[in-house]
Amino acid sequence: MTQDAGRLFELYYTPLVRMLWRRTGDHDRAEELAQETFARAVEAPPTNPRPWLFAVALNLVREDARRASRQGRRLQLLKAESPASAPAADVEFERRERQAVVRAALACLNERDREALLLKAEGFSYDEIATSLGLARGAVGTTLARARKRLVEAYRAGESTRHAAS
Amino acid sequence: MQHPDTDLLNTWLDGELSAADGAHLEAHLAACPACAARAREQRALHQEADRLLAELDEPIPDTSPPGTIERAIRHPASAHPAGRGSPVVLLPYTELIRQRRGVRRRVVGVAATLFLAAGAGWMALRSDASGGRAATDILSNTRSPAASTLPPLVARAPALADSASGYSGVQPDAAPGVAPVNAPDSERATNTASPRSNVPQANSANPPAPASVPRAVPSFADAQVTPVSPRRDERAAPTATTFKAGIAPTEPQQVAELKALNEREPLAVERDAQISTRIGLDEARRELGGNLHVIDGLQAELVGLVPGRLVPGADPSRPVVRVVYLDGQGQSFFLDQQRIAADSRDRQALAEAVPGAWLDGDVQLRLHGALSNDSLAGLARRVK
Repeated sequence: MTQDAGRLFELYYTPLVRMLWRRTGDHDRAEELAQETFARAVEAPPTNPRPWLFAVALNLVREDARRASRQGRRLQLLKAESPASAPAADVEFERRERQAVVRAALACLNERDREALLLKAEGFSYDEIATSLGLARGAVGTTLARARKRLVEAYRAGESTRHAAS
Repeated sequence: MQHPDTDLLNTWLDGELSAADGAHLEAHLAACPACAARAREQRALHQEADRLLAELDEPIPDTSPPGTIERAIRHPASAHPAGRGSPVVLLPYTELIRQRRGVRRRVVGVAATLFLAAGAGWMALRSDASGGRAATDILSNTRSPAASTLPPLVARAPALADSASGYSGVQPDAAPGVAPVNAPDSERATNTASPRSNVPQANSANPPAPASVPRAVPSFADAQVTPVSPRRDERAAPTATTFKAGIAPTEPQQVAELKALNEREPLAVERDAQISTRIGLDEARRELGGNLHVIDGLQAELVGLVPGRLVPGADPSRPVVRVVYLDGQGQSFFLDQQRIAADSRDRQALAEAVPGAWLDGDVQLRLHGALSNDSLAGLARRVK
């Protein structure tokens, strides 16, 4: 039996928005995509909701990115959310800079590695990641290991460039 | 055993090895310093990657209460602006805030449109599942039996008086006839957390601790990189599951009861804390074989059991007693405690390797959460 939509919303909305936010860097967009995902879940209630929801959401991100690149809308994705209580300007600046480096490092990964990593960070098991991304289960561990390594290496390279430049 | 390759170490660190294979590997790591070093290296990589992803999370504007399903039915049909019988409208709490502030955001229309459909579907599913019972009836049956039995643990200290009240201060405006519902479901609530969260400690090669361990001072130096894989919803929570709906409550008394329950104990705190079952002091005492430890002068938000497998360094086969506190910003922090068998010295060594953990007699304690290491260390001194 499928779980009802309200329950799914309660359980998965927050992690879904977080994952989408990490993926897109745009909070409004993340919420929109999460809501669209849930709307689809209402239309066709999934039997195995968690992998289903995240897989649909990641598909929407991919479609969205394709559309956005056609429309030259990408720049919008780089806009920053204004924090409610602005911390000290220099601290905030430093955080933004670091964040940009992380985002650039994440962008260095191929799509599958990046998605596997984002799902793992949401507590997905190998089986769930395999289901969501259509991977063989045996490939998940290797994919994750490669993704982590690349992310950390790209980040370190980015950080050293940043410090060299400043 | 042969030296494990990096894939195997990663599988182990990801919590994906079977218990038997895991035990084999751990035995090898205990005996082979080179492999233990490689495991530590891989673990550092895992932690670094997790930390980097967490860097991308932003504090959300308009610090608002963690949305909960119980607020979903906070507007009866008669109080709904669109009038009786209007369709259900579901919006994230942040959108409600934005709307109240008169800020037009493009997402509002999209959200409202989508969730007209979602709400209608939800209602349909509800009546399918219940044979037509009112939603309040259904949800009210799921409230936690222990929910109303939790007394305040200790008097609230002036210095941190806001900690516990941080919640009530950010309640959304409650409409008349509010019908909030507390609907904990340990099985499902646990599903929101990682199923693989007992991240093993790679340095299990540490020598066993002496049999009688004096109360150690916990180290918080590494607390920021504690490999807690089930992420709490600290940051994204405010955006989450608050939606308003046009469902009329049935019994006024029931409504009032549920409202009181909701105001006192938001479900989101429980879920974020991964609490599977709320417990009272007596049960905590039974579980621990002694008194519950608390932070002197602070009022606990709730006490509950967390599956041991979700807590790093804990015995995965038994639950951990978790006392949940809230700071002024509504961020949770936790005092975990679990009784340790006197003969499991390995576990004691392991326990002490976890940042923020220490032993008091045969109870392992750990203070952790969304606070600075200094704050945690200060609070740890007040645990008794």
